Amino acid sequence: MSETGKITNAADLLETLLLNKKISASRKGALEQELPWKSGQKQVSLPIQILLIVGAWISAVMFLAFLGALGLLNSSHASFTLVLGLVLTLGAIALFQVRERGAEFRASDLFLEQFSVVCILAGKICIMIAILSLLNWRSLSEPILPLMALFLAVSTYPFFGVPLERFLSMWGALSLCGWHFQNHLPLGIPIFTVILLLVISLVCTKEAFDRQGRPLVLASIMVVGSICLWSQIQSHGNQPFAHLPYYTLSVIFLGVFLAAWIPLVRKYQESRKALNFFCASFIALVFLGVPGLLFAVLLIFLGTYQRDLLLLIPGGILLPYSLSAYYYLMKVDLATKSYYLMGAGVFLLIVRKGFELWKAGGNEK
Amino acid sequence: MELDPHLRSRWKNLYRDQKIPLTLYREGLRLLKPVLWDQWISQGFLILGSLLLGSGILFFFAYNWDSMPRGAKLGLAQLPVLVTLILVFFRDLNSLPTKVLLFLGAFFVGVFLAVFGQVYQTGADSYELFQGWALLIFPLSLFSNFLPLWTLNLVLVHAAFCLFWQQIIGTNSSIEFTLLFLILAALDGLCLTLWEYFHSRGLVWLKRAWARPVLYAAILTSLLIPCSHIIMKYSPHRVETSAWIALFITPVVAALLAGFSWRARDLVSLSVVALGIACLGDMLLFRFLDYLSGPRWFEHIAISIGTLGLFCALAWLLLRVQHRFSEEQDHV
Repeated sequence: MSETGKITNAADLLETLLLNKKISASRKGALEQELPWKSGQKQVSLPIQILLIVGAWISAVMFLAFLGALGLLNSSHASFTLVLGLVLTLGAIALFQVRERGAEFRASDLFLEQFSVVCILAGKICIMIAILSLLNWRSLSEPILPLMALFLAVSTYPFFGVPLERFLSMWGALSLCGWHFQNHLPLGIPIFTVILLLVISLVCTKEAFDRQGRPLVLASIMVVGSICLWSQIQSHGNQPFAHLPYYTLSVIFLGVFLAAWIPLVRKYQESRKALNFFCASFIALVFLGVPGLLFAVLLIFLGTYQRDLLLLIPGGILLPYSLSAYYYLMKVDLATKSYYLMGAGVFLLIVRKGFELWKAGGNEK
Repeated sequence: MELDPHLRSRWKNLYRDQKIPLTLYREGLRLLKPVLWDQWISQGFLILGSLLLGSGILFFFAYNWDSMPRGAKLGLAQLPVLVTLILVFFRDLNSLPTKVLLFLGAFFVGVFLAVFGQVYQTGADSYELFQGWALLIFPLSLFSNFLPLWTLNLVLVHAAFCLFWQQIIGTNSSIEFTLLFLILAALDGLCLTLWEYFHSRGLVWLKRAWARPVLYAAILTSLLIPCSHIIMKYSPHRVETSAWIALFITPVVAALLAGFSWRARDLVSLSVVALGIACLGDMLLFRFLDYLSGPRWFEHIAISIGTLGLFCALAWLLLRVQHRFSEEQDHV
């Protein structure tokens, strides 16, 4: 353990658990074999993942440009494009499965994994172009495109476990679904938002938020974040989301927040009062009518709960961004918006002061 | 020493593989990174409340108060600055609420300058707003001991310098364009050197993990912009010495930064350097293939495979470094 008594490595953790009588000496011995890093294990940290994502993204775009330059993305070769798409998709899945079963993680595996991502993305786009061409698809009102994208994303999700590909496929499919609902179903977007928020909350309040659910959650976050910002900016005239009152979204957030908060309070019994305090103030923020802000707070809340940077970062970005989008909300004039914001800010600072005093009173008792 | 960043995921894997029960998993998680909800709520409300209040005041002055007299407008714009600074004066400067208050005060200085510019129509050279703002809040930054306020000051200096260069000197010739970014890189380099020096002297308020990678990213971005200019617009008939200097400096600076991050055992900064090198390599590959003038399809597939190879090779190197750091930490 470090000089400050802080846990810094596996040995410290197991030693502390033994001292606190949470594990026996024999259990500690067994866990000592399991916990430290072992050669051949694959553990890619977030900065390295970002590097790989950038590389795979550029590569996929250039690969599609290569197929386009060969004339293979042309609607006149639809049958050939379909076969090519299927070969690329199935080949990528086979490559991934073979590599996954390997006992040790090698340098070539990293390349093959990224190569399979490029192939599967290109393959899915080929399949979509080919099917649309074969069906002679002209009208955008047909739900073929979102349904096909969703089918492709869901059908490969269990078999192709690269988070980047899962995220991109789900994001594409969910965005297309949102776009279709917005254009063709009057209540489509609120219902769609509720479903996505429930997915986010249910997966994020799971005990071990893992690799399987993370891409789906991140894709849902991107789509809900876009809906929030669009609803704030384009809420007039014939623009998208003109029929969607942003207050509806705020109330939806409140409902889903409560769904995520109740299990949390059960878990953190010792902080129950503090969490109740937070929830009461969150309800008050709904009256501000900035859905993006509420969503950002929800993400930061879930990110802290799961100790996950990938939830905290979008929340941290969305928070100032939703406020700048609120600036362009045409339904309310700037002066009124400024009174709302100042009021909400002062309210939160007063609530905080009350919370501090209440805590100090509790400690004295 | 900091917590091994992968220990939590390894602990989680043990629970998922059913090698430890739920109660033990929770206990381990509590020890590794406890969530202090009371502290979280208190700090969260402070930051969110200040953000909303600051935005509200900004929105208020952005509204076109036509009927309000000039004096009242200016007086009102000064009021938040004075109130925050008076409050700071009577409070403990080391507490977080005071630091946030000081940050708000620095933000309101900018709001006041914008209103001042609007009233007296001083907006001909927009760099003056950022220059004045950066200069006025510099003394606040000096005694704030607050990294976000320093960051705001640095961003303002960058904005003022870029606008000054664009409006007064111009970026039409290659030397003017390159020099702008070289000076920006030098400025960020100076900030990094100061940060490293005071960080090594044990200044507690400077111990923020994000500061080094952010400065690395700023330096490398400033260097890569003129590099991309020379690589993409290279012509054997036109010799642009200044841009060539940038192209030769970049790998040297990247190597130096990589060396520093290696010494500091900082994987995030090392990844930033790797990303910079990968971008430079990719641009060179792109230009080389374009220079060969082969068929289009060949160019595209070569870039696709080449990019993948380059990024994967760097990622593999970083993985080895990550594992080495993990092993070292396990054996401490």
